[in-house]
Amino acid sequence: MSLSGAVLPWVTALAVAMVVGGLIWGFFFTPNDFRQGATVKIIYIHVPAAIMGSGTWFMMLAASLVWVIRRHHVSALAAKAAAPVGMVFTLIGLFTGAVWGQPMWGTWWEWDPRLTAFLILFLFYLGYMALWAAVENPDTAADLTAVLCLVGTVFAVISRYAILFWNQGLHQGASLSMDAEENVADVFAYPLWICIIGFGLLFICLVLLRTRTEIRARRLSALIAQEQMA
Amino acid sequence: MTAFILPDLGPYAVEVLSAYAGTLALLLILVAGSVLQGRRTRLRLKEFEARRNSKRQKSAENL
Repeated sequence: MSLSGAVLPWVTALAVAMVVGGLIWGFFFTPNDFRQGATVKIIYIHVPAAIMGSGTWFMMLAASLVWVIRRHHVSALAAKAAAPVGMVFTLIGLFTGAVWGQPMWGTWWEWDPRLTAFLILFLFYLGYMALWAAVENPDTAADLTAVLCLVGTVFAVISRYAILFWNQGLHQGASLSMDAEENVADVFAYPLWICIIGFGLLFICLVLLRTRTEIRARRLSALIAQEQMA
Repeated sequence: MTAFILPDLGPYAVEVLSAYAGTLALLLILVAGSVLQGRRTRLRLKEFEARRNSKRQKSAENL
């Protein structure tokens, strides 16, 4: 708790600076795309949010596996704390994708493999949070949600790699990759990278904050139970 | 003083601005909710611990 308390203000300041800086750069100081027009500016929120939406699930998977193997309580609480953050990032990805898709694809929604997997991932987030809330015993809840997390990972993988698995659907390939030929132009890529790092830092900051809250809540309920037994 | 200039968003102004506004609103709700929940839990724990400590002190004095 003392380490996370010391790190949290610095991560928060850096996250705010990078998200605000990246979005201002992208929104005000980049040109419109010759095909997409001004809708290209949605990339600075859609891509980082989508990356964090599926990335959060992988973090939850790692934390759940640590819980299952080592029974480390903080890892279970970290997975629980991350779920609402990932859910909001996934919702932002879905919303901004729909807003971009309407003028570019002529439709708000398409049952494309990547979009469908992302929607199912969003529903898994809701189910995961509901399961934590529904089970009273925290260890049982951690066990059950760890299993759900393992199952949901299938959709987190598909939402990210559907383009590679099935060569169909409306959604284009990765905007940024290690292969330079596929990348977006540098003028869009630089602010996009800043936004991606900023969203990543924002995720770390929110998960730290929420995990600290979960630890305190667990301590409080343990103390209340102790008092009731005395 | 330089005037604030909104970039030319052409026919897609509604889409771009609504995407940004929706995202900022969702992020604000998430951040505010996390901060408020954290503050509330911290205060409840602090109050509980203070009450428990004073109870213990009183019972120690009675002994």
